[in-house]
Amino acid sequence: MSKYHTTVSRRNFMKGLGLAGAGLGAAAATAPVFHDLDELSSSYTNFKYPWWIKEVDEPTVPLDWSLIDMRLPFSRYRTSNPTSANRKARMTASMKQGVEGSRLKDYALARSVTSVSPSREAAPWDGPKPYFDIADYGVAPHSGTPEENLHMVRAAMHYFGAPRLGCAEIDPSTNRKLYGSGIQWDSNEAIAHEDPVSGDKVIPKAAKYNLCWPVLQQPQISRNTKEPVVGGPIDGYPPFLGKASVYTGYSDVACIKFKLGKFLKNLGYQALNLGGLPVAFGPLQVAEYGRAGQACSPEFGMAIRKTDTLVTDLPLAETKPIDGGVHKFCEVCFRCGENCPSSSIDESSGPCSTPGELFSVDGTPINRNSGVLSWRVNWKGCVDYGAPVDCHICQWSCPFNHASDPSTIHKVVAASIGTTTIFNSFFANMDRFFDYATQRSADDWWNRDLSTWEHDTICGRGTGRPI
Amino acid sequence: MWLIIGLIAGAAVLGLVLWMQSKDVAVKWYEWLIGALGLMLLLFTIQNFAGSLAELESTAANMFLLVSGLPAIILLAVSWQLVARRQRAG
Repeated sequence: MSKYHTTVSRRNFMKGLGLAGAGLGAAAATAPVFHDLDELSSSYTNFKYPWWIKEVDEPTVPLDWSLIDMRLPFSRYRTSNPTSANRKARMTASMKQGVEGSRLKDYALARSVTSVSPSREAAPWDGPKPYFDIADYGVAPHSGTPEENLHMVRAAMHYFGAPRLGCAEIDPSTNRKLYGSGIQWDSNEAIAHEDPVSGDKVIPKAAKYNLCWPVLQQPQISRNTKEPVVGGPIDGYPPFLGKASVYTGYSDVACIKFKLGKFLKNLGYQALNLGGLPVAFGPLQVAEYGRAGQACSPEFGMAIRKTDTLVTDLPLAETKPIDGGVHKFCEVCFRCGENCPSSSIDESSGPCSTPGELFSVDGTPINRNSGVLSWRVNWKGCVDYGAPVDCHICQWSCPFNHASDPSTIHKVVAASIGTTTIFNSFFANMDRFFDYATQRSADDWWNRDLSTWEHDTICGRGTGRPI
Repeated sequence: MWLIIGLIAGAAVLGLVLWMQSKDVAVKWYEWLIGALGLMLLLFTIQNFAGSLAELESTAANMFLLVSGLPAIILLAVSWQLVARRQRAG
């Protein structure tokens, strides 16, 4: 018997030390080496997409810019159904009868976050007033390289609540078309203003940088509004509580844009809100385009209220469209379509079978998506049902909504989808098999444990998870 | 949490290796491989079970126990039995 008390021999101990040292050495060898601070600052970026999301030259949704016509309305269709009156009747009955998810307190909560936004006077189209005028301080407008400026604005926007930021120069042959009419571009004047005669917005040549960012919605409360109720006063419609995330989203849209506008104005630059159709910008810069005719992100799914935009003359580096495999995945997934209560989502498997065809009712086009050569929603079916007010079920059905959630399986699946399409059908079926994003009861939400619940936005404390 | 799980798993593996050395238990390379795969699958199961519960996906959490937890247990058991039966035989 050995006289020593340890069971590890000296030989094994030294072997272990050597292995640990070799491991440390290998790790150090793969780490970047900077020779000075300039080298460090020039290579540092405050954001990188995960490796499976590629930056590409063209968006994953095919586009025909010659067909994009923003003069047509988003949806010309006006239903003859008395949807407003019906909605009021359902709301009255459900409140009186105390239908879970559509009680008075549920409606009160969902509507308490509606229109929490700066007034039109505080946020005109040419941006809010700066908090301070730099001329009063004898300070020149902020200067930096386009890359430094993008880095700076991205850092600011993350603080304001937008996790991603894209930038593209406005090109007359492509993305400028997304802004529609009533705009005079490329003016030689320095400051944007309204033409006193025509009322058109006159935009300086230097204001050519289009910023785009996603405003997210909280999927957990949305699961209280995921499936139509069977029976009772709201038969065939989902409960209302989860709509709170939609209306919070709209409020966040206005507030984030206001903060960005003020930030740019404080720096001495312009912040121009030119409208347009942001859902079309999203797939060009910070997301992809999904089967439900909405922006769909490989990181956040369709839980995006809006991919919003702002035009500025602060010089900014451009970013590229992204490809995380979403558009290809939509070809085989159809989770949104199978949950749509009005069956308004294109059911064709594979790519869109009618790319470029406008959706028409009685021969009249009811949308302007002809240049988007991919799926579109049957707005007649959707609006006749009562959407968008009465339903957002498609958004909460998307498997990509949980791509950024804690379980490692989501990263494995997302990485696979972003790399190859061969498992896409399998993953879509697994999303069904594992029963993700099922309807939750409103009472579960009202009774959630506030000491452990991490899905509310706590002002001043962030989300608790990096995103 | 994962630091603690890593420390426990590392200590358990080290303890097992040292114990097998003291008992002169020989382990073939494929038995190591099956055991390692089983352990990785078990850790994967634990992470996804806990993560699914954090996401309020209780059905998914239970499905992970079945879909990856059970194979993990089976692989670990196979590895153990391969070693044990060879020891008994000879």
